[in-house]
Amino acid sequence: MPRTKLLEILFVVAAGLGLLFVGWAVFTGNTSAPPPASVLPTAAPTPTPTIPPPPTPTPQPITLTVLHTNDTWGYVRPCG
Amino acid sequence: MARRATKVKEERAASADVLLLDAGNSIYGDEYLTNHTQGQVVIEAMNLIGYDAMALGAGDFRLGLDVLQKRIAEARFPILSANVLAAGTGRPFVTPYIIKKVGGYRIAIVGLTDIEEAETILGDDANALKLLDPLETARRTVVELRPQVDLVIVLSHLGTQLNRQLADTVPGIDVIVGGLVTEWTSEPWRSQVNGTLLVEADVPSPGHAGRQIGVLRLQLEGGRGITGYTWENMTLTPDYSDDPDMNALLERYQNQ
Repeated sequence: MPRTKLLEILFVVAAGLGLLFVGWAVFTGNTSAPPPASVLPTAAPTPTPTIPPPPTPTPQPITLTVLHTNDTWGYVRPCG
Repeated sequence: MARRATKVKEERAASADVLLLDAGNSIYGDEYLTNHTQGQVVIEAMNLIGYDAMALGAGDFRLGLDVLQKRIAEARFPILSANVLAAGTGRPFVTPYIIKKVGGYRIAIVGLTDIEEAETILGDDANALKLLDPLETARRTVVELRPQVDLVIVLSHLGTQLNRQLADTVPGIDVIVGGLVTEWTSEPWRSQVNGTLLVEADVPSPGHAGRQIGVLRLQLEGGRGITGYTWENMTLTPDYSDDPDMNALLERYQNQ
């Protein structure tokens, strides 16, 4: 094969690979180029989506009875 | 104790959603059995009734720290105080609070102890403890607990005036069960600032203690918290029969 033809094939292959890489980079947003400077005010960053915690089941209404004593002074037998 | 046990059994037979609490100054006493056993009979009786928690009252320090620690170890219920620390370690002297689940509701129960009376009673033993300001401790503890629970109850052996101050100045407390009570009230006192309820069962005097039991019924509705309440202060007259199990326990101690 003539040398010029070989160079032509290599050039075409290289150009194809280059296009393939650019296309992949654009597709994945993985370009190494810095983002263009914006003249508009920067919008607030979008909050990272989080998975909401599972809802806590609301307890049913109840009547809670609180029995309470104080200052029994150690009396274990009826007094007073 | 035997009448109290009967009343508690009645309440527990009627509903599973019952808490039994004591606001402190209940282990030490000069009644013969209590004095003779250094409070052991009281702890065993409270175990038998099934108390859920008790505040550490300053008067309970009259047992001395060593004996008190033995009684605390024998109790099958927590004896609570958030503002009494061991001086050496800076760790709580007793459990500061518990969280219990009743009827699907998470309920924090925090203990507080009157530090001025404790210092007087403890004398030199006070050096073994670090006594913290109860209101500041309550504020810090409630901030920590409030997001975790549906209801905050403070078992507070601070006395009527300081308990009212606690209710007015520390937001986030639903109910204060008070001890060291100095005045009778026919209804719960309620803070106009935070809506906190203060209930107190007994104003004891020598020869007249341990006869009263407070009965607070709270209507709890999901995220709305307390939607209603009733309270009564009952005197355990001879109309209440003695619980036979309690009588048997006391007889056993009497015959030792």
